[in-house]
Parts: sequence; C-alpha cells; structure tokens
Amino acid sequence: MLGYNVKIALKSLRRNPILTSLLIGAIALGICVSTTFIALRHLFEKDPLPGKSQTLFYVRLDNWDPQRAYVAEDPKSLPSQVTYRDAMALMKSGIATQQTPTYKTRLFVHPDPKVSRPFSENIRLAYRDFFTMFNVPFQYGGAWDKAADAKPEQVIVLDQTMNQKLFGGANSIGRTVRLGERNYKVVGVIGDWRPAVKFYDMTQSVTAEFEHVFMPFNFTRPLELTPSGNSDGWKGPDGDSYDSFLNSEVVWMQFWAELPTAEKQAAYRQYVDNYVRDQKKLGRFQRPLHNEVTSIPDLMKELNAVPPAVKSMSIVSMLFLVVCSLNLVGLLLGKFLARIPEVSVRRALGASRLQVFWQHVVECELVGIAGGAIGLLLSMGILRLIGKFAHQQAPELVRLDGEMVLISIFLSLVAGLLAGLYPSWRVCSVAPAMQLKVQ
Amino acid sequence: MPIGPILRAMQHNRTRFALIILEIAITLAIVTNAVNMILDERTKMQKQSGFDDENLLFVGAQPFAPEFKEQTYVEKIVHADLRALESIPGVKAASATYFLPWQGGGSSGVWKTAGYPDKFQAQRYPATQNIFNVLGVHLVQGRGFTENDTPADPNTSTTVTVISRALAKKLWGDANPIGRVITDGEGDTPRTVIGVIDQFYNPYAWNIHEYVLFTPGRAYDSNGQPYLIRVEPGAMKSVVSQLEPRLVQVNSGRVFRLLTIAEVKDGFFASGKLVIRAMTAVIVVLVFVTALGILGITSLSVAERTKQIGTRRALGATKGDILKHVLAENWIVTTIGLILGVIATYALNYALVANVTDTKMPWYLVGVGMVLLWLNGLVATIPPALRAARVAPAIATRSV
Amino acid sequence: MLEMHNIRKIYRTVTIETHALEDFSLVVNSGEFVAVMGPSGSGKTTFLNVAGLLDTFDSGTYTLDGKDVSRLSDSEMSRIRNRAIGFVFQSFNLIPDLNIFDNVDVPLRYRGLSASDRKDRIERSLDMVGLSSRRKHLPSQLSGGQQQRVAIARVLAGDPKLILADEPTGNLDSLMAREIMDLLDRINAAGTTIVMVTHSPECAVRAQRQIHVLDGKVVDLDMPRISLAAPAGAGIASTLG
Repeated sequence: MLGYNVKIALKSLRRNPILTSLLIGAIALGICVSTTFIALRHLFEKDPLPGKSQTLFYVRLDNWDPQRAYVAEDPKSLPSQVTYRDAMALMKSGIATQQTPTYKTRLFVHPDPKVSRPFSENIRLAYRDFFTMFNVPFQYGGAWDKAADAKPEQVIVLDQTMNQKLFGGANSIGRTVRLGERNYKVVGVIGDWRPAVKFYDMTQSVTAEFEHVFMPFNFTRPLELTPSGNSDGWKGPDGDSYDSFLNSEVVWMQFWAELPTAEKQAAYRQYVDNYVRDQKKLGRFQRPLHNEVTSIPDLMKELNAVPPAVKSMSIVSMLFLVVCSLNLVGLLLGKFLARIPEVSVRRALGASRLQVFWQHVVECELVGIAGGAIGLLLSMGILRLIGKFAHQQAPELVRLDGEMVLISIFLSLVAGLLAGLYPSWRVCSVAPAMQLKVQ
Repeated sequence: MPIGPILRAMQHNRTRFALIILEIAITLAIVTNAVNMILDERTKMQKQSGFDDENLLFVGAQPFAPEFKEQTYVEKIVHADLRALESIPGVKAASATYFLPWQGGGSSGVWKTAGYPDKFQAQRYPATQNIFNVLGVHLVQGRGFTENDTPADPNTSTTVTVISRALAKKLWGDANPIGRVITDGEGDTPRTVIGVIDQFYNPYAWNIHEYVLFTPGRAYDSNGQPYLIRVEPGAMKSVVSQLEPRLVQVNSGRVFRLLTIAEVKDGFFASGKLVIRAMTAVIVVLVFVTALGILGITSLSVAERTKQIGTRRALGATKGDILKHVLAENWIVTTIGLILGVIATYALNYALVANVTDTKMPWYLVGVGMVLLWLNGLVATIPPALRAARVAPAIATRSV
Repeated sequence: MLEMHNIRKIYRTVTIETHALEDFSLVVNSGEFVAVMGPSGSGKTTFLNVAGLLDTFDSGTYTLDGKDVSRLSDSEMSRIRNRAIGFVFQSFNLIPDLNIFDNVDVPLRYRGLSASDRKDRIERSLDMVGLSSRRKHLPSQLSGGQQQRVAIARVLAGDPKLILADEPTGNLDSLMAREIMDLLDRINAAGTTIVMVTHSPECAVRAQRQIHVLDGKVVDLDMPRISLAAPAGAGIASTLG
C-alpha cells in the first residue's frame, strides 16, 4: 500500500508544479534556516569528550577580596582560575586519577634560520595527564612520561600545524626545537584534534586558537614564566620577586581533575573544602567558604559557551520553521480540499478513512523529505559561508555533523507530518455521499 | 464596506484565516525582535571611541636578543624607538603603551578615592607622555604628562594620573576633579588627578567601558614593547611600509607585529556584523515567505469560491465590490494577526531577554513593524483579489 | 440480496429537519435488475447513498446479502463497498489524473490483491467493455460513453454482487445510452444484481422491475407488467448477439 500511496502522491505533486514547488520551497527554507542556526548552537553545546566529560572536573576556589566578590554585583561569583600555590596544593590530593594545572605563556620559537625568523608563540604548560585526560590523539610519538614531568625534562609536544611549519610535516620525533633560550626534544606530534570549543581553557574566547606547542608544567618556576592568558588579582604580589608572584593571590591557571566515580567526586570536594578551611587559619580565603568542582558539561553551561546571539538566532529560527509550516498547512489544505471529488470517488469505491488519511500523509511526507533534502544542502552551503566569518581559527568545524543531519531530517519529517495532519484529517473526514454528483 | 456580513462569511473559512493570523503574529514577533537585535548591534558599532581610530596603528616589538634582559638597555631602546617612529614622515605622534583600542578588553584594577563610598573598577593604562596626542583626545581640565611625571626607575610607582570625564563624573559629580587622590583597592599608591580627557570608550567585559586612568611611564613586560602610533590622514600605507625597517635599524633582535586599529575594530565587530547579516537575511526571507503564504492561501480560497463570487457578480456586485470584499477580509485578518503579534513580540522579547540578550523592545519598533507587515499583507492580497474581481458572472449558471 | 425495512433518514440543519427517507422498505432479490424512479427530491439519491453504504440512516434495518449492515463502522462500510458493491455514476467519476488502467485499478488497490491478480482482473474487465486498447489513455481522451464503460469496467474488475447505478445514462446521448444499457443488461444476465436510479422511462423499461419513490417512500403504482416483459427480453437477446 505504501508503494501505491507514493505513486498517487507523486502524481498529485506533478499535477501542479507551481504549488508543489511552493510547498517544497516552504519546507526547504524553514529547514535551511532552522538547521543552520541549530547547527551553530549545537557546535557550541556539543559534548567535546562524549562519555568522558562527566568525569573531568574544573576546580575553582574563592580566594577573592573579603570586601568584594569577584564580580562585584554578584556575591555568588568566584574567580575563574586558581593561584599557583593552590594548584600545587590541589596536586597533592591523591584522589584524582589524573590531574593537571595548565596555562599558556609566550615564548620565542627559534626555527632553523633557513625556515624562518624567530617568532613568538603561545605555549601551553601542563602535566602529561593533560593529553590522556582529554583524549588527545597523536600522529607521531605521544605524551612525555612522568619522569619528564617531575624533573622537568626538556621535551615538548607539537601540534600538526607547528610540525608543518617547523619540519614540513615530517615525523619530527627526536628532533629539537629552540624555545626561548633552551633546546627541547620533540616527543609527540598531536594528530587531528580540534573540538569546536576550547573547553580546556574557556577563560578567554571559547573559539580561541588552540596552542601549537605544549611543555611540562614544572618549567614554570625555573624559567620564571608568566601567563599570556588572563590573570586577575584583588591584590598584587607582596614583592617584586618571581616567588612572591607565585605565592600571591593572583589567579592565572586552570586546574583539571579526573574523578571517575561519585565517591571520588564527594571525597575530592571534601578535600578541597578542608584545604580551604586550613588556609583560612593562615589568614587566607576570608570570604565565606565557596569552592566549585564542576564537570565539563556544567562548566560549558555556566560559562555560556553558546554566544548569546547564536542562542537568540536558534530560537528565532525555530519560529521561522513554524511560519513555514503554517504556510504549508494553508497550501496543503487548499490542495487537498480541491481534491474532495476524487477522494469521494475513492471512498465510494471502498477506500477507508484511514487509507485516505495515510495517502495524504504520505504526500505531505514526500514534500517534507524533498524540502528537507534541499534545505539540508542549502544549510551546508550557508554554514560554510558562516564558518569563514564566525570561526576564523577553524572554519571547517562549522558544518553539519551526523547528529545534526539526523536532527534536520527529523525536523523536516515532523514539519511535513504536523503541517499535513490537519489537512489530511479534513479531507478524509468528508462524507463520500455528499460529493458524488459534483465533478 | 459592511464588516458584519464579511465576518460572518469568514466563519466558514475559519482555519484558513486562523493560519494567516498566526503566521502574521509570529512574523511580527520575529521581525521586530530581529530588527531590535540589529539595532542593538549597530548602536554598539556606532559608539565613538573618542580616538582618531582611522589613523591609529599598533606595533608590537617582541625581542629575542639577550641584551633585552638589561632594563637600562630596554629603556634606551624605547626612547630610540619612539624617536625613530616619530621621525617617519606622516607620523604625528607615538607612545609606548599597551593600550590597544577595540581589542575587546585591556587591563583594569580596583581603586578607591575619598568622596566615593565604594571601591570602583576602572581600566588603567601606563603610557608615555604623547598618548593623548596619539589618541587624539582633548584635555578638558588640567594638564597632560610631562617628562617630570615619569619616575627614573620604572619599578617605582607613579604619583599622578589623567582620567576620563565619565569617571570624574561618576566619582565626584560636577565637583572639580583636579587635585583629588585615587589609591589602589588597598589604599596604597596614591595618585593625584592632574588632568581630565573629554572622551574615552573602550569596550570591556565589565561595564567600565568609559572609565579609565592613564598613568605616566612605559609599559613593558616579557612579551615585548607595544607602541601606539597616530599618522597623518592618508599616510597609513606609507608609514606601514617604512615602520619595520626603521625599528630594525634601532635593534634587529626583535620581531614586529603591525595592526591598524581599523583592523582591530573590524575583528571586534566581526560577530556583530555576522549577527546583522544573518538577521537581515532572516527578516527578508521571512517577510517574503509570509507574503507568499498569504498570496497562496488567499488564492486557493478565491479559487474555491469562484462560483460564489460569480453568483455575487450575477446578483449585481461590481468588480470593485469583489475587490473590496477580498481586501477587507485580508484587512480584518491582518489586523487581528498584528494585534496578536504585539503580544507575541513582547513574549519573544521576554524569552530572549531572560535567556540571551538584555535589550528591551522599544514600542516604536513594534509600530513600524505593524505598518510594514500590514502593507506586506495588502500587497500580497492584491493579485488574488484582482483574480477574484475578474470572475465572470456567467460562472453562476454553469452547473458543473 | 438487498432488504430494507422501515428505513428513516433525516437531514438536520439548525432550523430544518428534512425527512429524506421515511418508512422506506424495499426488497431486491439476487439476480434482479431493478429501476428506481421518482421526481427530483423524492429521496432516490438518499436511497442510493444508504443502499451503497455511502451514508448512514437513522432507524430501520438493512440487510445486504444476508448480513445486517445497519450499524457498521466507517471502515467496515468501506470494506463492503470495496468488495460487495459496484457503483456506476451519472458523471462517471473517473479520476482525471489516472489512465484507464489505473482507474480500474483503484478499488482493487484497497482490497490488497496481488499485482498479478489485479492485472488479470483489469485486463479481463477492460476486454469485457471493449476498451483494452485504450488502457494508457486518460479519461479526458475518451468520449462520454467510453468513460462510462471504463467506470463499468472498474465495477466488473471488483466482481461485486450488487451494482448500484445512478442515472448511468444521464450525461450521454441516446446512442451511447443504449450501448451502456446493453452492457448493464449483459452483466445482469450473467447474474449480478443491479439497482439503477433513473429519470428516464426508456432506461427504466430495460429493468425487470420498476420502483417508484415519492416523498421518501416506495409507492405502489400498480404498473401494468405485461407490456414491459416481452420487448425487454428481446432487446437483450439481440444486443448480446
């Protein structure tokens, strides 16, 4: 019966090409606009580490000014990063299965003079756990080992872009790169790794460029590194020395802990609170006890990873789809009601109400599928265009992933069905006898 | 035109008219809110910084040569750089400062002053004495920095500051700000206000876009020495081409990064421009879709009533009467839709304000939107109305 | 075959009740060819709608082929229309977009027959009405008489027990009307019961029995039967050849 319904529907759609193209056009536009903006939103909301992000936690402590919250108007607010000394204390918890403080600094890269002049580059410092926690894939080699963390050894990890720039994309494991005043051995080249949101450091733009060079965190002190990302302090360091900066209340690094079980999470929160209570005895942390240990999805929600404009546009675009569907209802209603004589003949010849209803729903769905397909293609084109403007770092990320394609197909089927339900019901509920004599 | 009979006749076509009403209501809600978002972005873009943005240029000099470890050497180089920069033909003035207008942030601190009850937050930038000349801002009170204001040792804190008029007004109202003292949040490092500049706007994450303290001295950190340069109108191109060679002459152990403030500003507004483009596209397409929808639905309803219209004609209705009838129907439907649309507009605005943006809907926008959509509905109804008017009275006697 | 007792059918609007059928009783036996006659508004069409299960009625009983069909759901009625009843309409009611073959196919589709079975039935019935060469034509490419023959082929393909014809010759000129009546005679002779509503006395005389309806009731006009029987039989014999 489905085959027959499709055949009748195609025939009916072919009969009035103008009306049919209006119907398909309405759905296509609606799907195109809604898919485009939902995809944009989805890009920012998407779980960067499916299955794992719930176990990775971002730690924040309220070490701010006793008289004034981090955001003065919001007494519940707390600093978005931690101090060096607190990060070092958190490293000693023994609860997290993996953990790392991390921040970025700027250093000069001195390539082979034949390749290019020295250039200044953002370098991310982290423990090796960074790579395993965040499932960073490697093209060559891998993360440095624990010994390299501890000492620290002069090793680095490059990403594909930097490996391309310095070594023409060749396997560079074992080669050296001069950073600042020291030489570092390449131990790993990161493979294809580009989540849409820079989830591991959302203190600046969520679409910010990823760092291209990573080095062991413990170089911080010997090299007297300072952050090139945000640093905030409610009071400055007590002296001019680098150690007084490290010991100050200035927050400038992110801290991540992997806590796979609920028990570990509870224990960790307990540990953090106890640590702050101890520090209070030393005169620090004079604000009310307030620490946050936040999973990646919660953090993305809290920090509003989705830009407000994208959020508004996704709401507006759904309403747009509704308008398109309303048009569809009107047009289908006209189309179907004009067919009542034919339907009454079919009814007289024994088609049941349900059969007539399905025949028309099939027609609506055909329109939905055709419009959805066109809308999907249009949307892909538009997203490519938007990518060039909106996500300069990685325009190729602004696209439809499999999930979005499914959502889009689903939306077009639902739009076709919802728009078709009422007209189909109207046409199938007409009594056959009434129309017999009208042609 | 008698409304009563038209309304009663419309009852038979309830669904059709209800669809148009809903469509118009949602369209009004979307269009007004989208226009509101566009206007909001435009307002942000049209905000004047108060600086000569078009003729400003930023240069970052990042040293890798080891001699830059010596503070006295750096001091010497900065002076040499500034002299070299200002000797380039077309350069009006140059200042060593890390203030970079329109980058969407900067540096800020928490401050205190007598006469203002709370601590307050404001941007703060150290800059060498030519800074006001570079920015192109005017001192409305007091004076700018002199050679004597800068301490010989860059590690000692400065004792004077020049602030923006907006900050002076916030702190002390209309009272004279000159001679007042601003300290840091702890009450340390007092600085005396020696001058007030007329305008300053640099968008910031917090609402402190217009509050600034300039302090004398150069800003230097391990990331290098930034300069802000103002050029003569039209001289940007030639200055850009001469800049690097000149600075390399001073010291070649550095890399340079050049950015015109026009570029920085473009980057800052990139997403806003995208919002404007996207919203404009949505509005245009939506109004078009709605017009097509009204046209399509009305056409079908005219086609269905061909016989009825023919009968009316046979009974003496003129073409004009039929035209007026169809237009009157549309007028009723559009008006109801627009009234509902006003409610929908504010509902959507409320949803967006609560969740997303913070811009209230101005009433005049709703008014303009209503007029435009009303005209849109009228235009879309004319073709089917004309077709209805052309129905021949003879249709009435045809049996099939 | 068809047995109606005390059928009442009232059409209601807000202000008026129209008694379309009132105490309507009729029995049609298997294999009969009955003509139903009456003036406009007498209730003929309502009778046909009720008889064809196109419409429900308010009270009374209706037995079709030994089965009580008085109170059936819409889908049960659809099923019986599809399998047991064939309709021949005044205005043919072919679907203009479908070619002849597909038009005859329509009721078979709703019966869920296999493709080969449907094809056999369609070809056989088109053969019977002499239109198998036109199977790819659209209804608009045929004359009125041919269209009505297609409509009859559509009935034959379904192999119904009862054919309800509503002014089958009303839209045709007399020559074509004769052709159609001959065809109906032939079908009736093969055993199918036919109930035909008509205005035309020429058609009515081709039936074995005439029923007169007036104000929603069957009236006994006491028709003289003798004068009708002989020529009718002769007519069939001559056209069937």
